Amino acid sequence: MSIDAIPATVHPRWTRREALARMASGFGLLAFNGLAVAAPSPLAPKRPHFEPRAKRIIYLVMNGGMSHVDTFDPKPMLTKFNGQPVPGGAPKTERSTGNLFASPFTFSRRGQSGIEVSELFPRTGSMIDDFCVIRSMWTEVPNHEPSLFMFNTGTIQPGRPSLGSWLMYGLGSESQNLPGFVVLCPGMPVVGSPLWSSAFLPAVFQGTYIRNNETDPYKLIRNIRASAPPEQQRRMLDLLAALNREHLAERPGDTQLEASVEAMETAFRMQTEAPEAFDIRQEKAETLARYGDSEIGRSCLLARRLSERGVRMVQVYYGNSQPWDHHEDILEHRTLAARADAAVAALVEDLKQRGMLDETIVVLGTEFGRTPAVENGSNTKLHYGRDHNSLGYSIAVAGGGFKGGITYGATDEFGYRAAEDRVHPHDLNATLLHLLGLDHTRLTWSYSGRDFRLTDVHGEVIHAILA
Amino acid sequence: MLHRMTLLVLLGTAAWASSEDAARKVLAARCWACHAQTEMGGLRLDSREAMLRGGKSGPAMIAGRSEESRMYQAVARNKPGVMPMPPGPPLKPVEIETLRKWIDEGAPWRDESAHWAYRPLRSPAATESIDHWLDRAHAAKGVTPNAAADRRTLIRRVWFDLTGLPPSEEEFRRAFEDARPDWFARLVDQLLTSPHFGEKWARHWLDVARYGENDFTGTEVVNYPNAWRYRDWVVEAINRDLPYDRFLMAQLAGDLMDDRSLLPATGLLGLGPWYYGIAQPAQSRADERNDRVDMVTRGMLGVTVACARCHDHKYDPFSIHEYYALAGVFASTAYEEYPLVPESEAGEWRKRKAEVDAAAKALNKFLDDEARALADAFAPRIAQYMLAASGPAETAGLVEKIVERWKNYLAKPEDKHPFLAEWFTNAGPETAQQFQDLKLEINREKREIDEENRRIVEDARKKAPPVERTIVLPGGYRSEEDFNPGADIPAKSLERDRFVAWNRIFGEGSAPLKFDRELTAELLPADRRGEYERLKTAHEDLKAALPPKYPFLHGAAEFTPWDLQLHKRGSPEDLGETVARGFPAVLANGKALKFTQGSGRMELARTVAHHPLAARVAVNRFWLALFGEGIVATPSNYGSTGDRPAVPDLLEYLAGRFAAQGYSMKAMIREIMLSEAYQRTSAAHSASDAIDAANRTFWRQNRRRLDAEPLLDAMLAVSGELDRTGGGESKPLNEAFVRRSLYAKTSRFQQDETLSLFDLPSALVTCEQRVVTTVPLQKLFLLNSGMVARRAEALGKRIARTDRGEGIEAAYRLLFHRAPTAEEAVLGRGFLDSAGGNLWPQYAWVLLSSNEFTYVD
Repeated sequence: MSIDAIPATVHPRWTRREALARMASGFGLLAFNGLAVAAPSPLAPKRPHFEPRAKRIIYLVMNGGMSHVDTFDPKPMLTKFNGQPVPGGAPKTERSTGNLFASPFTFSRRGQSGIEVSELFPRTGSMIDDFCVIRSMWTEVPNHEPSLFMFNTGTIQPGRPSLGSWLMYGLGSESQNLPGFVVLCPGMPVVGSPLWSSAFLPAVFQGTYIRNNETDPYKLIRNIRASAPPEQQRRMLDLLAALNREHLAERPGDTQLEASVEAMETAFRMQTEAPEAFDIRQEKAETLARYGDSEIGRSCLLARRLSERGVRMVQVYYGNSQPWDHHEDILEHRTLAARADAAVAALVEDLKQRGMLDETIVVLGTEFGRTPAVENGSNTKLHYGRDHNSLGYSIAVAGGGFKGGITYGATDEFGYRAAEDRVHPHDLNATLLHLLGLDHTRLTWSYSGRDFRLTDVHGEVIHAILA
Repeated sequence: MLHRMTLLVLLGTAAWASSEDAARKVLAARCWACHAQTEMGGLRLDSREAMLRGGKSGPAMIAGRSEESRMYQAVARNKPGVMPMPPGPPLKPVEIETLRKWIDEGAPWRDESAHWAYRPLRSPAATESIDHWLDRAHAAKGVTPNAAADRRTLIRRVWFDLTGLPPSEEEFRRAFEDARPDWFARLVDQLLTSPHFGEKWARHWLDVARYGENDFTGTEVVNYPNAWRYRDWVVEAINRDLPYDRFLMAQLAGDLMDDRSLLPATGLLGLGPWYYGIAQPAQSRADERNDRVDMVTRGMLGVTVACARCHDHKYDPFSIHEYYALAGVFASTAYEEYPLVPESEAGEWRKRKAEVDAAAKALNKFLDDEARALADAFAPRIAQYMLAASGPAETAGLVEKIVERWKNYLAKPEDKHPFLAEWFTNAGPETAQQFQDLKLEINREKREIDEENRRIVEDARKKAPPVERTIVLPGGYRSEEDFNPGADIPAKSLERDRFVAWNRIFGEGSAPLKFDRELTAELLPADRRGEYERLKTAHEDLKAALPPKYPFLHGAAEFTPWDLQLHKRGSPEDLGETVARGFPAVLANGKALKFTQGSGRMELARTVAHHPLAARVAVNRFWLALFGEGIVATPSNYGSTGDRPAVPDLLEYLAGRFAAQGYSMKAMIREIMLSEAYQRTSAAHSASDAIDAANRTFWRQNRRRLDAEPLLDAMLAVSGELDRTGGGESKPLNEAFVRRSLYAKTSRFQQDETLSLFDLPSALVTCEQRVVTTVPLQKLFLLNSGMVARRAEALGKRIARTDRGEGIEAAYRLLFHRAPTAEEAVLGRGFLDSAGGNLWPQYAWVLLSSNEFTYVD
């Protein structure tokens, strides 16, 4: 699609103003080039800073805090010293914790690489050679909200643009008939829409949130069901186009009026294309079964369909509120992981089978890990769970230019703190942007007196894990 | 100029305004971490003086002589004996070059306190006017401004800009046919007295005030049911032209002013955002104070003081100390609910509410005690029930419901039954009895642990140091006590499998012997029924007699004055020296300004409201609302990184005039509208475009898309459905909603989707300026939403005529205040004549979706 056929636009005045502000404040050409030249459409595909490795991201969030020592970070010392006090005392987390608490799950070596994965992720484990397991993640605050904000928006408070919004700004959307940044959650994660907000970036870059408790696409997308038969709509749109042409003839050269006309035509097409994309019922029963009859299974399948159709970023929250938040009984992880395992494995299988994994990043993420010590505060009835641990946790990434079959970094011997090759969400975000062809230090937006970035003044691309 | 720009581009740096800006950027990014506040090696690189003075190793810079300047030698790494800087990766060549060039140019360094925006206002001369300054700007640039727009365009423009609504046909006709020479001024005056004026202009302010009617705690939404009273106060204050200085003062300190009618204004502080327990209390409270500092300094003064939360401001003269001096004012301010009924009445309501709560508590305690008694009564009959549930055993004397629960329980052997293995291999009286004995034992153990934990918590609470300051948020949320209560007290629990065994029988929702309050009431022994009925009736009677809570205001009040300790690097866990409350020196003529009366809020309010920046920011926001673009293009940032005014004298004139006229908002808006500048056509003009395409000198009006609210309101207005009643409680914006969008619910947790679609800003932070987007999802809303369908239906009825031509004519007059052109009439008739019954609603839809309806010339 050529640039002038792109149907969406931001009011030209602010792009010019923005450009001018940049000139005046001196950030102009350090800022992302795509905007300074006043591209007619903010959603048009834009050239990245350099040749990208990946085109899109599927970002799965095990919201609530997936325990690393029970999934991807085996700790023999934790088993050995089970029930003993934490040497040197436990670090302060949100709540009171007691003695060291061995994982009740067994780990085994999987794949050619022999990476140890717990029994909670058997199918994902069998595909571990496609994954890079980062075992040295850390973040600042052991509370859900600040940590969710951090990996999504690069700060612990509301009010900054999310990763997906920055991608929309930097790269535009590959599909002009679907939203470029989709957020799926059967319910609403803690914090809610500020996690996919575009904040001070134009609203057009915000995530499109789909509460996918339903499978009927017409119940998922607002205003997508055509309110009139196509031929009738067509007649109305033809008249509208004719009247708009008359109007425009007297106001030549006004790009916002032209963009408005284009946007209407795109909307007309979306009515048929979007429902098809969102309809997982069109998949074979066998496929549905492979992903699993679960919310996360259906979400991952939908994520695949959307990715196939050029959606730049699909973020999937595992479930409503914070399902992985197992303060009382870590065995509850078993049920959740079983569903996630099937969904993740099927997703990666499908992406591989379609030749898409090379250009699609899959992130199996979470806001933080859980304490190696047992939680024992007076407000929990059972002390067989783990508190939030922001000091060290694991995530796994696959595809899109990441090396497969490796681990990166390590926590300390018990799994409390990221100890070797520490990775902060800023580093992860810098790396994700890098793979999509964007330099995180150059993807900036001037607002309120300074240039803002997703990674603030931090973030290092982790070259060691790139293929 | 062109040459310099090209050169800078070639250098690969930005198009810097000056070598100084470039140097500042490098210094800030690469040097200040160690050589600003931290003064490593005694060296500061954040003022010219300090660089000339240098640190322990002598002067760092000799102006004009880069090769001899230590700081250049250090970054260029070209001089033995001079420690290479910075540690780690060296500066990029272009950065080194930037510093060299700047030093060789004599190291110019502006005195930030002399920055244009901090200067006092000047009194405008009688010869000055808006057009006087714009004429000069146009002449200087060689731009020819557009001519005045035609009367129809002007009437529509004025209506939308002042009221956010289109004129009715009659209103339009009256203005259009007014033959008096001052017809335009009369129209402006008329509309300035319309109640709709306040509704339109309140929304502009509410963007800045990040007005929201709820917050989220992380797990739930807290609603502010009386938030609308603040919104209505804003509307009313604007309608009665409350002077802008008092408008600001009231919102910061209305509770401390002599006029009680200003109290609702403190909703600016009372309505949050509040962050409750979304992070540790110290962090959340610090974040809230940061919001207040940000809203006041950016929203009212156009300075970015919140940037100094973690370190001294990198570009503007605000220190981290000054940030905490200001934040201290908000730390010394409390959330307060002001009843709108006499205190005696409010007190009576609270007393009666307390009685209802006490009665509920008594009832619940009774039921919970009885539930335990029931569990104790049924526990010794576990075996009997198991046998009854699993076979043809005697069920006489057993409670049917409980038998059913046992059946369900035993029907799921796979479902975590660590102690039922024996029973499932050999179900019978013996294994049932074993299971019962075990359960009795575990239940006893659980009781003991509960009792022990109760003592542990009690002791811990006794020993805990008293909370220094009890901060109470809306809904009675207590900052320290309500954040995960008890989570920090180590206690005991059953061993896991025994807990599960207990939980499955006694604890979880559908457990056989879980007696919730409803079931407990049902199974009460006869001798307890009387007591239950008495407690239940007492509660019900009290509850039924309790009226809805009296109306009140969410506002602010004085709190114990509190000077904050500086948060090092912004961390509330890492406290530094105590900072006395006060105001940034650069905004107080360079002098330290301390606040000493109570919280300091009244002093802050006076200082802010009469500050030259407040006037500059206000007039620029008015201009922005009337032109779609400010004279300063960064309306919340007048600092060194913000935009310079496009026509500086114009801004200074307007600000001075605003103050001189006693801060009358209406007078200022009127003056702008009566200028030639406002009344020009919005047409493009190639010659002027070539010189000033961005229209920074306002040689034409800007064609503007209607904002979300006027767009929806205009549809309702032309369809005849609009309910023009003003004020009152907010309601969800759904199909049945036919009031102005100002009265729709404004959520911080989940913004209204329709208004967001058309760029309603987030209510989480103060909004600098709305952006305007055009996206297909907006068009899907037009195409398929029930809301627009209703409008089209109603409008279709309104314009339908037997004579199609007449109907088309009626439609154009109603929507666009003109007759259709011949071509438009033909197109319309062609559409209406095509097959398919009553096509008027479809025709109405087309007109409502048209660019002419959405964009105002």
